[in-house]
Amino acid sequence: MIKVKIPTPLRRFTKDLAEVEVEAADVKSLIEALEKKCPGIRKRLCEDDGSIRKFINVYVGDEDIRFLKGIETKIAQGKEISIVPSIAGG
Amino acid sequence: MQASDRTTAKVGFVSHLECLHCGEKYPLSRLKEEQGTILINICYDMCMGPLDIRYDYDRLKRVLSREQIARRPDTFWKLRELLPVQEVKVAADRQFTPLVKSRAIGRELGIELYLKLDCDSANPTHSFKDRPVALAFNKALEAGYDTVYVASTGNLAIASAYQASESGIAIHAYVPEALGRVKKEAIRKHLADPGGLAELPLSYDDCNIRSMLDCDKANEDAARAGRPRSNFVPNNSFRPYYKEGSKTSGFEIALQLEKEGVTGRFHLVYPLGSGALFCSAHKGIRELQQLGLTSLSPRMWGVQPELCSPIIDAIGKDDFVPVKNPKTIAKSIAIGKPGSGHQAIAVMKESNGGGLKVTEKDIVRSNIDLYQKEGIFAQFVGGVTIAGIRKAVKLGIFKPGDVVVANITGTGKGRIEDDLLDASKEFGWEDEAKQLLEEMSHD
Repeated sequence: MIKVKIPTPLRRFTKDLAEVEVEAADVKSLIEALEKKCPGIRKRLCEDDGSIRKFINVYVGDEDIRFLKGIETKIAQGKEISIVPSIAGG
Repeated sequence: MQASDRTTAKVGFVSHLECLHCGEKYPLSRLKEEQGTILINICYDMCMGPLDIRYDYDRLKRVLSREQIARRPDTFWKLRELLPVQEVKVAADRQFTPLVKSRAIGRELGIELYLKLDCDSANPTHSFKDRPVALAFNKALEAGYDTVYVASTGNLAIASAYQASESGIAIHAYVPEALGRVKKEAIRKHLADPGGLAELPLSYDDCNIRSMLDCDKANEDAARAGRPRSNFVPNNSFRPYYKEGSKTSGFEIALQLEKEGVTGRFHLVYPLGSGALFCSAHKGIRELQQLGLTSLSPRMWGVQPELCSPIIDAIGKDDFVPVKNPKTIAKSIAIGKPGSGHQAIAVMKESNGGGLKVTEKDIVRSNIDLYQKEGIFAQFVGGVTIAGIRKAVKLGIFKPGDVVVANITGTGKGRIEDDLLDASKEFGWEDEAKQLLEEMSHD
């Protein structure tokens, strides 16, 4: 199972849970699994073409998937995923 | 939903928050109802884009006049109706920072150059960060929050530590361990608990993520214990409000330039880190235009170091390529993932301005110039602005006689020495570094 940290404003879709656990092998399948468990969340995370919205950062462990392989990034078992809105800093 | 905080759905002339990406509107009553607070930062119902504060401009037009504003003292709160606070609880005594005519650099470049100095004589912590931080802490007190988490390249943590101590708010500051000694000491000076400063083996961007996750966790722990949220990150948790503090840079420049007799178009130049100050200053002047309070109209120019230029590089493209571990000497803008970058590009386009990139050597040379020719100890981010202006003149973008305002967003001799000694080794500029330090030690 993979633990996913959900940012506060999206917890409406997770019944207020800060963490959700899903089965997934990569970021793409993680989003699908999240949508099944928390209907409505995909639309907030992804554009219509399935790419991650530009205002969302997805971290596998401490690494931003933009520095890895984007939504094709593999996720090893036990890794923690953080979804973080990208509007901070400076 | 977490327990509600003490914010209410009525704040002065604020009408709603609006997504800068998709345009979704969030009236304050909707935020309070759906999120338990009006202190929200993102378009949570649609595209996750950044929110921006909107006011009832029709009502403001009836309330504000040039004559009335001219009668008010030149303080940070001079245009309080255009700032989203209920009551000013802290930072009530801030004054305008100076706008001075350049003595030498402007003449040399053949332009009418003004320097806007967010500086050690006018800002309590010597940088423009005192502006957004003043807003953020007033909102935090309004909401009943008691603990701040902040990641910083220095200036934001110093401003936050100062304001936290003034406000009775506890602080957890996160800085890259590579940050200079002087900046770390300036943070520590304001800490009641020395453990409030964490020096991490991380880049600024990663410190930033850490601060947000730790703040979230503290709020979750509070929720589990049945307490309301009371932890915040000033430049994140309620970024739309935080950014409004930086509009005052634009308000002041417009009012001060008019006193100098300038009207119409002028070039307004800022260094770009996240892009937030740049966008907010522009918004401030646009609001004054919209309300008939100024005839000035800025062309907005953003400058970044070549070693960290994610915003300039994204002009004309759909998205950013983040810069991992940026190395520029202008550490306060070493931000690889610019939070207001998309908006900054939109502002350049809308105002018929643009972006410029400058080399590290030009930054250092411009700082030497600022000191030798104008007597200003700018942080290296000031050298970025001046180097950008030199480049714009050289390229023929700024024409002889044009009015140009250069923003020097932070000063302080000690902070320069720190960054200089650090970077001169890395880039092999010992000669330039020695020259600058020698000049400075003669005074």
